[in-house]
Amino acid sequence: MYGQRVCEVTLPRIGSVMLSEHRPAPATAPEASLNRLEELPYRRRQQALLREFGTAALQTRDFRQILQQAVDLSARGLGCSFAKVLEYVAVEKRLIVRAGIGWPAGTVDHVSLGADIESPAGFAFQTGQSVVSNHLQDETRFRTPKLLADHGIKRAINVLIRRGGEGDTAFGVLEADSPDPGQFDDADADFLAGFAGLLGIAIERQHADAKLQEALDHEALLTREMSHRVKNSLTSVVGLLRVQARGSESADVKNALEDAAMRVASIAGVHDHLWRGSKVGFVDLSDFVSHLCKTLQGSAPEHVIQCRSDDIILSADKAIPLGLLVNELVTNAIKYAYVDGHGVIRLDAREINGHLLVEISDEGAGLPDGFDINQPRKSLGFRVILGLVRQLLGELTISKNLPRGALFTIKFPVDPP
Amino acid sequence: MPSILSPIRILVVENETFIRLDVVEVLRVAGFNVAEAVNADEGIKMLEADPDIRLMFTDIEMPGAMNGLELAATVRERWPPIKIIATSGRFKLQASDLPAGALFFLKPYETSQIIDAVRGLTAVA
Repeated sequence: MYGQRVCEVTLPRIGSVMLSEHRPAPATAPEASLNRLEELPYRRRQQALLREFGTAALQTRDFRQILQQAVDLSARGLGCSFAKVLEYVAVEKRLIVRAGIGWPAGTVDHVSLGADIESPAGFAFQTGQSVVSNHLQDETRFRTPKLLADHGIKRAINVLIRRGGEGDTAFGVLEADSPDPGQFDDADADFLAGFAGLLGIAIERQHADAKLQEALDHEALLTREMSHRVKNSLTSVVGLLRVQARGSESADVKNALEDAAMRVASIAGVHDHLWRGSKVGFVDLSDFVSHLCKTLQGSAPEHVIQCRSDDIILSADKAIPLGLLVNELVTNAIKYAYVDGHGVIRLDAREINGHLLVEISDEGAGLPDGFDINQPRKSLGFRVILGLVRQLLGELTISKNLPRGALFTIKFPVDPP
Repeated sequence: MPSILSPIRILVVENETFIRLDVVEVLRVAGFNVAEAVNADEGIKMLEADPDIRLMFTDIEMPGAMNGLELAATVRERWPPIKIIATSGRFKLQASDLPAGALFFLKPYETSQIIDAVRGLTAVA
């Protein structure tokens, strides 16, 4: 089974440099049957390299890097300087080099071998079995492809790289080659098969990752679509309320329906911002506030509405009540602050210590002395304001603005980013 | 013990402002005395401070450490005589999810159904 021991060792070509010094090459495969003294350290090294590959494959998601490590470490363990990973390309029925060691630049992703008995790799691929050949020239099972012949390859091991899943075609072949005299044995094939097994798992993991990313992207897409639909539905409701307002003869009914329309529009506005921001289901507060500002300004062209906001993101369940609250307070200021004229109404939102501080102020007549918002009142507006502040688990403070007017301050907790 | 003639006191636990205002108003118009809480924590605090509450109407999905189901279980454990009605916009609950004798309504509900249920549960036997 094993050939004759040869004294001189011709070293393999690395790139285009031929090394011709004679030196013992401790990493080369044994040329004759390994005696027990040599075999144990040789196999233990192989074990250690397999362990090294297992660890490395877990640490990176970079597929090319994993393939390269597989060829580097397996070549080292087999004492040869040529190795490659071949991937099966179904549409061409060929095996293309995806990673390699010892081959010239430009081999990877360009050179391919037949996936039939044109090559030992093809043979392994077809039979599904590990193939050890110590005399390529004398082989009757398959031919020696040009790539191997060009590099003086005399012997090779080929193992199948399977991937998981029933009925899946194998990924390809892992091959180690050597132009040196020597013998690969079944234990060497087992060693190489160990690498192939780990590669198969890495390939599966990569596919699983890609599928997961696809699913996540799809989910984000669906959430955005939902936000759109909700916004559209609410905008419909706004339309219908306005139509009904116009259709009513009673001024009270008209006003009530128009107030309702504005409030619903406010909720729709938040939904319209839930998908725009950096995080789906959250709004970019400064974007949202400037949109709110434009809308409010549009409803009160004679007043001056000024807004400023910190650049934070806010979850939907805080943004919706906040939008409604701002809408209520600014609308109140527009209606009541400047009795016969008009003036400026300011909105400011600032984040302090895990809380959002929102201030709405005007420079108008100010609130009547002794005004107490907590007194039960018929006015829906104030009940809504208090209810929303409670929903936000916040506090409302009403004070005099300087030099004149009213200042409404709401402070409520926001989730840490 | 509250006098039989005084209005029956009810606690409404609901986070969404407009839904809460709606239910509270409807119950007041029907003659009940209503207290409000925005989440389970607030609800428990109110129950601790107010021995006159005879029924709790609670939503299930609420922000905070406790949701409506946990609140219902807690209330049944600490104050067994208090009647419980639960609602949800998301899940259809089974009888076994709630304490015995509790009623469940899926949102959106007809407020008249809620009034009838409250009347039924608080009627003097």
